[in-house]
Amino acid sequence: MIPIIGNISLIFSLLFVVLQVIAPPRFYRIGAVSVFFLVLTSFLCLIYSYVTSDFSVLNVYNNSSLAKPLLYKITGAWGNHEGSMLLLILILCGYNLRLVGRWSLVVDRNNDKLQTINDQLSITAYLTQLLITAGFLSFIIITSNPFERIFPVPINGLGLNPLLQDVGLAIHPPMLYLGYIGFSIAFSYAIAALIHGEADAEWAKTLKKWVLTSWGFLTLGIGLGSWWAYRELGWGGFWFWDPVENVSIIPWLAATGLYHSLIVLEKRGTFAVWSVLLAIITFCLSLIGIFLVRSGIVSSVHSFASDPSRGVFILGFIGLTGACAFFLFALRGGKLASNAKFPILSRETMMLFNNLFFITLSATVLLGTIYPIILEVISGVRVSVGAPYFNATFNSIAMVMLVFASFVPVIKWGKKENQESRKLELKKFIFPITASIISAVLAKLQHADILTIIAIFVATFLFLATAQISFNYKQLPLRAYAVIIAHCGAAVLVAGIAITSCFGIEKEQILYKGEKMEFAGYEAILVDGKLDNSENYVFRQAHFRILKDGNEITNLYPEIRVYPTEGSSTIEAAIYYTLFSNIYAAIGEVDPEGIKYATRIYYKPMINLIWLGCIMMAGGGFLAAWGKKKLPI
Amino acid sequence: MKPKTQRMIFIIIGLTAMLAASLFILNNFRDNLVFFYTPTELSQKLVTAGKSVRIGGLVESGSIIKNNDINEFKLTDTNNSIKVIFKGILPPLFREGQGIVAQGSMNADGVFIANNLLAKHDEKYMPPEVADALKKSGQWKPEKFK
Repeated sequence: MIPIIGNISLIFSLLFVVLQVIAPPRFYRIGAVSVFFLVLTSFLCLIYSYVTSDFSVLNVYNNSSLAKPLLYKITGAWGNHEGSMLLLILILCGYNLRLVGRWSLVVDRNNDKLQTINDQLSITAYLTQLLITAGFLSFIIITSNPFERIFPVPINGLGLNPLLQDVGLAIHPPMLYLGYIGFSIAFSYAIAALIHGEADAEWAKTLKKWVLTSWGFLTLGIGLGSWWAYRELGWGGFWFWDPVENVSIIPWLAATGLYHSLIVLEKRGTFAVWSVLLAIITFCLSLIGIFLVRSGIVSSVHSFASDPSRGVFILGFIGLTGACAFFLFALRGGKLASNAKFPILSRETMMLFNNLFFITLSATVLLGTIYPIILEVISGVRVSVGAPYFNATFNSIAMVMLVFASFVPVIKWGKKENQESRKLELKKFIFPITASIISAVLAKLQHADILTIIAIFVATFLFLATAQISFNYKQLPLRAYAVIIAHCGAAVLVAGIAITSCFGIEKEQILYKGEKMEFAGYEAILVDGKLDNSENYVFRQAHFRILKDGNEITNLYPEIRVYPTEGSSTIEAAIYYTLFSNIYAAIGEVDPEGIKYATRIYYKPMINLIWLGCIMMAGGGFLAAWGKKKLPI
Repeated sequence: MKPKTQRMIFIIIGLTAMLAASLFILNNFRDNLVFFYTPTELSQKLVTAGKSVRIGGLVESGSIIKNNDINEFKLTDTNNSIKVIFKGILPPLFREGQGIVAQGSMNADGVFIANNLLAKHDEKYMPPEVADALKKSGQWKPEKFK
């Protein structure tokens, strides 16, 4: 019964979406509300089917089992292709509802004519959203319906991939979708701007909030994915330049550029054409990101093994959306151009560089990710692009960019041409430069490699140059603090990555019970091991006592878990978290008698800075989007 | 100077920078392409010893030899097999018949020295490259591996 309701709700929501396309604008509000609640109903029906372990639903059979803990029964609903698509649509409809709720329609009841261009713009934007929503709904109903049934009803399900049975990974998809899907709004507003021939400061102001909020969520989503990989994959790494990771960072980079471009548009009335184009590009990249993961083309550590025939629908959808958008842009983009000029040494120029950098970074990662796929399609040759490519290109370009970012506070917006040119207040940089040189020297004394030294220099410089803005002024608008937090967050992230990559220590050894292993000034003693079982898995656990200078610091219990229903296993690392470092222990093979343990221990200094950096960036973004203009003093 | 001249200089600097960046990127790119070979291809082609490549196949039955932390096994696409040596901790569920992708290089004796083993943590998963390799050698049985 419930699955049938779920299915019908989906179909009706598509119907209501299509109806809104042909209905007059005064029905948009009620339309958006209805669609949202229909999709929500559908979503809840799916969750209900999971919680009650209704194996007549094919999706539940494929991805759940009786023994699975309740938390993962619920979150497992979106841990597979069909369920996550449903979550995606729910978020999309939620955004649509918010879009409609935000503007007030000035409608002349007698003839549905609208008063100002901004209302017309919003209507067109909403219509575009409706078309996108209809596209996604059709996709899920036709090719990926989560409510497909099977008879006879199986007794138990196939279970959920154990790697996904983790809290971090439960929140990761919702965060990512809140990001990706938010960029559809930017896309729709861009299309509307092209159609109506107007993209002004007001347009930019409206869009900024949407882009920044989505960006913030995407930042958190990527950070969560990275944190999950760190904890769950057992290798102590947090970023592998895996295609699946890359497709999330490519739109993130483009969106960062987009936001900065919108700032210029709002403040100075220029960059309109570029903003519109970038908005379209960002959403197209998001679509590619969402679907590359599911197409089965990509072989990676964590991709959905999925049905390639869906790829045709997906490709068609992306192709159609992109083609229409770019065609429209080619036709109408010129109308948006402004004639504003700005001097070379101005914030506009810095923003231009900013966008250049971000687009270059995005394109670099895109090239490395897409090339193997295209090459294989064309010539059948299989290649993979190694991490060194990404590290070499991305890191160097990013370092240069961050140095530029450090100078932004002192370079103001360009003034009118007849005013005298400004002097660059270089005095302000004496302290940051000195401090950066000191930290670089410190790094060198610790035998860091040149790349790390540069990274530490850049990170310190960016952090201090940005943070000192708050010391130079008595009271700043909240927005300024948001910028400081976000940019400092980037510096913190870079510092964390550099330090942990350079000074991290990894040791592998086969240990017998009672034997000890030394690493980074610590000792790890293999005390004992046991074999036991939990709700839906059996595990072999090792007990390590960690000592420093003879004092016990902590005890770690890494495991290898075997999940009988799913037929797979995971490495569960045990991590000791302190403020300034992590100690990370994992076991590999254990001989059947439980005497020899293949052990891997990592010492990871400053790795927490990575997650802190992500949180700071996202926090800064949210603060800028939602904070009140002035501090309440 | 006139704004137009200013702009020109600007654009030229920008383009030069982009050109330099592109050359740098593409150069790096070429150096880091890792080609994938099946055991059959590896046994036929003369792959330069020491060049980083990937190889995929099934772990051949009875070929696993463990010596402390040095592991030896053979990867096969059922037509040909290549001996692989891997030092380090094996991925969980590493066993005979498992589809594995290994990254490393061939040494002078025709043995593959792996520095990285990629195996999904799923007994049913088959890396696409390995599946294709099996298809090419005519030994693909979909029901067994789906």
